[in-house]
Amino acid sequence: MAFIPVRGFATSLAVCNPTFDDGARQYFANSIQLAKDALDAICKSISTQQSITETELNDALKAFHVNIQNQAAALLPALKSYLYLYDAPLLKDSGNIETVMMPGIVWVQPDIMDPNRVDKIVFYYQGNGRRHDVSTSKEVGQACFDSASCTDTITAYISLLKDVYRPLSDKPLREALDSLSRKEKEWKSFIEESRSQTFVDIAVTSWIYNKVYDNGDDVFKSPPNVQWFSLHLSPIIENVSAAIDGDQFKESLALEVIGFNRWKDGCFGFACGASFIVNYTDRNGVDDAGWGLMFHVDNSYSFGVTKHGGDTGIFITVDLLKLFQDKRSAFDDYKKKYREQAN
Amino acid sequence: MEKPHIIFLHGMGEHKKEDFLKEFFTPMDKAAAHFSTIKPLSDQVVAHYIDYNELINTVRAKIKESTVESLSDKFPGIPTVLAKLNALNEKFGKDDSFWFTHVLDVVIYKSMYSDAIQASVGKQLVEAMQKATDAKQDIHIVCHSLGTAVGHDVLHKLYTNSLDDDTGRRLLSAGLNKIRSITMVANVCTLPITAADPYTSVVKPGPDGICDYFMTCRHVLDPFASLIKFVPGARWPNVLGGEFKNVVINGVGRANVHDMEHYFYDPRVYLPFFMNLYSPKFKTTSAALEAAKQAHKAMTIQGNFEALRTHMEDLDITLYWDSETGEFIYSEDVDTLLEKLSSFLELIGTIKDQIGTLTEEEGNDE
Repeated sequence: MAFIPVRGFATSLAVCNPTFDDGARQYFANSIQLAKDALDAICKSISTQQSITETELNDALKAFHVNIQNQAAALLPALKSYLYLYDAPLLKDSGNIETVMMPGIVWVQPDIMDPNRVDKIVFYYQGNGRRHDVSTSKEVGQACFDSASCTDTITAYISLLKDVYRPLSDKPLREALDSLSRKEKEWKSFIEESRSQTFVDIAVTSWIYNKVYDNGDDVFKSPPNVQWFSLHLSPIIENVSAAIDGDQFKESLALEVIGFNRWKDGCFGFACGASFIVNYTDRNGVDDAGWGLMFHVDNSYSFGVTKHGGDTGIFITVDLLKLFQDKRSAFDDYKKKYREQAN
Repeated sequence: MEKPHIIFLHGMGEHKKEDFLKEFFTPMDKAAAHFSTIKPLSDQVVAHYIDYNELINTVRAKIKESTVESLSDKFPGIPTVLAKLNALNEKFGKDDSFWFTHVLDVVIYKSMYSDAIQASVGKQLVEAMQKATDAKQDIHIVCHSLGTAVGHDVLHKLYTNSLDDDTGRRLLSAGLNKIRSITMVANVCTLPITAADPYTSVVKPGPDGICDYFMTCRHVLDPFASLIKFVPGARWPNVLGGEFKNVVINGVGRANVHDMEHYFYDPRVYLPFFMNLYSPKFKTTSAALEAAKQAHKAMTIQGNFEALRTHMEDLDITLYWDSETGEFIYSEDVDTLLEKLSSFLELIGTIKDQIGTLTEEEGNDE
């Protein structure tokens, strides 16, 4: 046996606490000490602070299995021929990955309206792959189900086995939790920080995202690096100097035909993107319709250039204008305070 | 004391933890009262509620930000198609009607945000599993409506994804992290919402599955669950009628048959749930079973109509000529006659109320 579980956690795990339920103490009192030793050995094997040799681990588990199997055979003679499944420690080699098996039991009740009927009892152990199981006959299963002492004993037996092996189920849970916490954080950051998208933008980004990330695996994906935009409307303030006086500076509506935004670390550590836009403004002296490029910075602000026939215009989005106004207002406040203090 | 842990995953629309758990525990506590071997469920289990509604609301708020407000007023010449797209976007962002809460949840789950939802749900699920493992208790999962699709996808990924390292190990192991039971109420996994095929994924019982018991429930009038029925058939060999329970119900107690509470009032749903939760300790008598069935019948329109029919047959009052007294006589004495008529009228009143409730519930979007 080449198994030693990967060490990663201390033996302070709640599941390493050697307490067993009343059923185990009632029916398997003689196995409790060996169960404690086996549990202790498994907890040591996954501990970062304590060590145990492979032989010591196997010896502890073997002693426990031999003992509990003898007890079970005496207490459950009708089930003796099925419980051989748990004669040896539940450790298996599977390719290069050493894995532990967990014991289990299924009461197969065929009629949803009759809780008193049992077709069979399935005893199993299972690691990462297929379950290894053995089923009782209908008569044996029903007879055990109908006997309170049989169901109590078998429940205590499986619980005791599970309690010994349970510490090994803790590691995958902790690692999965770490991995998913990271993913959740990435998505939170995407939702909070990225540029607002319409449902059309979301549909386009989702389509491209699925094409890019679809590698055939059902994986927990990270958010996309690039957001895509299409048919996205943005109010802008545009200045076309060639227009006649009074019509040069006007509010307009830009339609992003297609665009993108790298929402994180796009340009020298900042979010940035660009879109091809068309716009329309009723002006004298220049063409009303225009086209141009819109640049996005920091997921919130956009500016750009337009062409109206042969005339050039520049624009900023209303959001950016508001930012300038806020900054201007803050600057004015600062100037006012400075002057007050100077006086 | 043994307290199994139940992890709940809600469906479409707005949900609050307390209300959702009430929808489960109210009918289940009433059901438990029929059986001497079990106590009220709300005292006997540890409940974990997984929420993804908040995340969907955040996404909606973000969509709302991208809407141009008062578009037609500011830009009267805007092409109609763009004005309509903007108006629709505004509705997606803030409309609280059925289509823009329930349906949008599904639309958002079909977008890239499904991965955001799965990461969040996966994290909460594993946290709950960790707590159950620490408490040395079995893990049971109950999903409702859209939650069945979300739960399915998350579980499949949890047990088939590798860790982001060189070991190649799966996130969770079907053996070490076995789930005792999975219950899919108003199961919509067969709709084109789920990421993985629900018949070939690992979310199933049996030798290749991740759970000991799997139960799927649908009401014949539930449009979401009955549109494409969940029938694994030969793809799930040897588990039907035991490890896999396919529950179909038809009793109508209220207009919204999709409601989780309505499902759990039905003994065809709560009996197999109790079996999965407590087996082999849940045993009962045929009298208790019959009482439970009758109690549910009295809650359904079909049950009350059947009772009315029995009453009508039982009335069977005839007027006959008594040659001895030389007068017409009723077959029942006056007291019995009044008693039977009174219970007959009472039953008609119950049916009338029930139909009245259904009509009132027509206003209910669902």
